[in-house]
Amino acid sequence: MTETAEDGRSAPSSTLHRIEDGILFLLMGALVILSCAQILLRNWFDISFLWVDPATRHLVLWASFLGALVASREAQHIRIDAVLRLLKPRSQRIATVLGDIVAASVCALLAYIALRFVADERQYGGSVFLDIPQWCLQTVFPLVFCGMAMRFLLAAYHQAKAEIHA
Amino acid sequence: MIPPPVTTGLTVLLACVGTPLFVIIVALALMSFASDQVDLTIIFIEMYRLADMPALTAIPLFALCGFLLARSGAANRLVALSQALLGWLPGGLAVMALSICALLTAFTGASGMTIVAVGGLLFPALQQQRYPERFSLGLLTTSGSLGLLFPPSIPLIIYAIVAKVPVDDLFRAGIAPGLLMVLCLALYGVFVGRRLPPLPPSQVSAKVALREGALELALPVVVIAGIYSGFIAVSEAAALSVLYVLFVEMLVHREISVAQLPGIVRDTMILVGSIFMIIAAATAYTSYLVDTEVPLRLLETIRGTIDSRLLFLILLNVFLLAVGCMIDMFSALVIVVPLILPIAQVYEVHPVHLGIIFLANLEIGYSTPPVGLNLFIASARLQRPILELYRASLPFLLILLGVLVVITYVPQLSLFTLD
Repeated sequence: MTETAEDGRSAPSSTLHRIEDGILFLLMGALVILSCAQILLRNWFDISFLWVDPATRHLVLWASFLGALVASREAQHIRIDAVLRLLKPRSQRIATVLGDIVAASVCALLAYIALRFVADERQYGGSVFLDIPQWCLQTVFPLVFCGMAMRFLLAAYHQAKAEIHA
Repeated sequence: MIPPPVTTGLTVLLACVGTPLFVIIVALALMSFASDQVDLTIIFIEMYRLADMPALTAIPLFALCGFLLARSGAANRLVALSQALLGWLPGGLAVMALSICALLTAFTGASGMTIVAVGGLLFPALQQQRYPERFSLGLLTTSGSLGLLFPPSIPLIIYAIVAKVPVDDLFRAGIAPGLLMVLCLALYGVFVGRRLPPLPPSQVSAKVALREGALELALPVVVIAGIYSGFIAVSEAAALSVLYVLFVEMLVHREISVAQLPGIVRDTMILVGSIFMIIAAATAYTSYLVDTEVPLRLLETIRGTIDSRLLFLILLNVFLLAVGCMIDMFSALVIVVPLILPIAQVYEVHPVHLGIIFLANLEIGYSTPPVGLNLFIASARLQRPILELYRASLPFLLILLGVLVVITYVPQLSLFTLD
């Protein structure tokens, strides 16, 4: 049920999909366990670890950005499709190709800016919790936007190819 | 600064070709910052602030609860339970359909999950009881977003984060207005169902149905009590709810297997990820707007033309209804709230009350023709042409608009629960 849009495509992409799903699952599992453990320790044993709160928030940051990456593989990003819905199917598909190309370019630009941002932080940034350097936590930005740029480009390519063949 | 006509034109153009909304907002932010010669890494300085918002953790967790509930047989059990409890009432089936939708939507948020999860179950049931088809269609369409005012709905949390008001204040304030909406629609249901034969006595006794559905019915109670008692924060209540739902659906009812979990987590995070992307993008863009004092100038313009609180509220309603049927709720909240909030304060609208007005409007906008999202989801799920749904949802919309008037002009309804 994972491969909806790109059914039957090369195996590497579905391996990648499974890896993404697996990481998401681990991040969310860690989030639930850490949060519940914190409640238990605080209310029954009067212990609380300062690092847990920032850690859970970074888990959410990573999980949600990865979720956004997955959303782009299944073309599930939120769009204002009020106008799109009124178009004819063919114009709808052509419009989507254009929209995906714009999305790919903006994401590529964002990935580049994110890389510069992380490089800056690596030079000056400190650490938020458990001595993990802050820039490491921020690598999610270039990773996700780079991935999204490629996915939008791929989606546009496939859609355009299908349209030409049809 | 880029002239507003250029930005508006570009936004409309990009939206027309179906560019994801977050891309449009980021593009606007990038262009605005670039035209002011600001270093563009500021986008990520702003986005990284997401990691500083404690209440944000609650969103993926409550969303996960909603998806788990929707994938399990919770809806069936709730239907059986309300059939046993409300079967004697004329219009009982309609009343119970409304209550179930409201309960589920409080957990699943405005994602259209409710119609997908219970539409296929309740529509045949309503048909079988010989409710007019148009009534059944309208009921399921509009109740796709009914219940958004009840805790722990995700739009309530997002409003609280954006407007910087305590989440539990909003959770309290939404209950009475939300109940009023359900009550008025339920009365309409009783009116329509008054001449229909009562439900046949259900196969399961009330006792069995109660035992089956009790664990899920207890969830909202546990969540609300936990938060109000002060033992746990909202984000912690969310984590406990996930644990509780996992326990109930995996160990007690055994309807969700371990193998299903990664898929459910993925689907949850697709929704949450696309919401967070918009929040991240909008955080960057609003910081630009605030830096350049756009809300302040907007306020000055509006103060010059609107001189009474009443007129302001009327215009706010019209504006938000339009927004609600054009844009999805999450984007509407993050983009519009920062602009309207300072203006509302000048007209002495309490920020919590404003939140309830916002959500009530957006909720109704979701079912408003021609482009309300619920109409399309219901059309796909119930396989009916969209035009039929326009007509079907009309009486429900009129009733909800009536309630909206009460919610807007009687602030006490929302605020009496606050200290």
